Amino acid sequence: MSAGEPVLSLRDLSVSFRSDGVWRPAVESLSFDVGLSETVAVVGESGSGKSVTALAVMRLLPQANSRAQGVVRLDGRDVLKLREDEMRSLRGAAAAMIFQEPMTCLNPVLTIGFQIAEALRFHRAIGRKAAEAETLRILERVRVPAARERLHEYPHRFSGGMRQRVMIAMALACRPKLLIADEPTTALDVTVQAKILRLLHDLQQEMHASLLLITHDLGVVASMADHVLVMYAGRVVEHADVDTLFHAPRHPYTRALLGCIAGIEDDRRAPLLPIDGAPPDLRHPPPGCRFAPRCRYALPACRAEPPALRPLAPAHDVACFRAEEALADA
Amino acid sequence: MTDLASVPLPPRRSALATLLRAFNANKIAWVGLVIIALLIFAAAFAPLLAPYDPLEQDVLDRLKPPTWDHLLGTDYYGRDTLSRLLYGARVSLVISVGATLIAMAAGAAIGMLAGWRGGRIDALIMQAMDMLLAFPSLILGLMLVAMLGPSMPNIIAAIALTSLPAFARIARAPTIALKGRDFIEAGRSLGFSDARILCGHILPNIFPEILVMGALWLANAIRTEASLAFIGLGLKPPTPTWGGMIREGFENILDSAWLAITPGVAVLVVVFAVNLLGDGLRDAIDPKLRNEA
Repeated sequence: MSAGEPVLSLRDLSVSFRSDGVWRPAVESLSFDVGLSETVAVVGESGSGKSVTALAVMRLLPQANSRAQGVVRLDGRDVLKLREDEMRSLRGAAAAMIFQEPMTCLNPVLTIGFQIAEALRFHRAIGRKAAEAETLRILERVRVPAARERLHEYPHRFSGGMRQRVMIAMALACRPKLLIADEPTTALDVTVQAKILRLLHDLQQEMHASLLLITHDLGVVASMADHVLVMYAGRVVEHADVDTLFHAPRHPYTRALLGCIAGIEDDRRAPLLPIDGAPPDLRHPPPGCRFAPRCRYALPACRAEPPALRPLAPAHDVACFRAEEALADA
Repeated sequence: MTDLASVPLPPRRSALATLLRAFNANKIAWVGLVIIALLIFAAAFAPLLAPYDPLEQDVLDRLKPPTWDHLLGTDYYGRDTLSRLLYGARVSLVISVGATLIAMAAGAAIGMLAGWRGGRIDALIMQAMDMLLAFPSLILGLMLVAMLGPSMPNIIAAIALTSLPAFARIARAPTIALKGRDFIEAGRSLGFSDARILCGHILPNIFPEILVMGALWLANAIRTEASLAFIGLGLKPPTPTWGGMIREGFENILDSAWLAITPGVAVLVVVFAVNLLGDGLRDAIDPKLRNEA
């Protein structure tokens, strides 16, 4: 990988799944970069294709009934063209993942020390003693208290927050360049969420890792991300840096999402604005803009043809025909 | 969040402690364990414990009822029954334990592979297993030994094959359940290969079940070995085997009943003990270890 090249680069990635003999799109023509030590957040509702994107980057989609097209360059390698064994050596070493559900992501019958050390020993040629020492250091780094004693305990002795720390330790064990966090705090208590996010942020800074953060929590996005992709029904609707996205969102869907946040500091106690309707059934996607059926600003043109993602300003892309118009806020 | 470090933790329970607890709850399992321990001891030290050479014939002392010289009497050739029983325990143990271990290893591997791969491979493997299972184990063992010849490796292989399907089944179902679990996906995301996930992550999860199945099928293996020997498909005479002793004793059952009864009781007691042990093991892993893990 040459200097300046992004750690992760997606070009025209499309993923579809087959069910009942029909290929249905889950993600369509997705392009974005994650630069060195950068945090990119992917935001969207359930089913918008966020997690599928993450799995496609790791090439962990079920092979039998899914297909990914386009280019995924991870650490300079074309992921979709690698042999399985080459891909295995990238997983964990070049990119590692943190999953949503820390309660079920650890093997219940193996000690956490063993599980972290296994990742280490698998990717690096180090002995058992060295791996154990390194494991201890990582556990202390993710701030698991009494790490030395807890090394030999089984996952059921750990709380959700502690397990997520262990998952982070496993993911960071081999110092990957890219960390993919798929809703890392969704399953945790609110108070624990903040601690885990702080930890992720600190470790990312320390290790100069890039972070692809998948979430539906805009609060998390605001505190963590450099750039944000907003996805809706498998397509990117808006891509901007975090300030622009929060202060000058242009896509009606982004605005609607921001309208759904409950703010405790708002003195005018603005009512929450739910988005009417539901995301489209991707078995029969609407012909035009996929958000058009729920969009209060939709024009006939929106329903006829999908708007392309186009640059509105430097580092600000929007897929909406009416992006330039000053639409009356809801 | 409760800081876990500040909460006093309950004392850590090892697998052994869990086992002991379950055995104490099911006290009769101890009986099984003690009998089996005695049997292993007797088999291991047979040359020291046996009062006579098990093959030594003494035509003057034929068909003697139990006396102080021959605690369990002598057979048609004047051989000491107790000595033959002790040496017979070796054969019985080696064959049944060997066959069960082979069936455990091969059956678990086959079952895990079937469950992991799924689809056509799974269907094919499990059909084959069902075919094996359809034969009563004695009939299948009899067929195989008759075809291959009654040597120790052949008898072990035949008995192993008859118990293979049970292990394949017990390994397959939990593999299917486990392969969709998040920690398997997490392992993949760390770059682990299928083989590593199967051996390092799935096997430790299903091992307790396989072990219990092994204990229960060990009793079956002992019985099958004795049955094969009884119908003349055991190790060739004069090697002492329990089944063979029952058969030889059978010929003189009217005047020297102890010759058939003592090895028969030995088989009975050992099968009973192994079953008790298996039950104890099952209790150990059934609900408790599950909650612990």
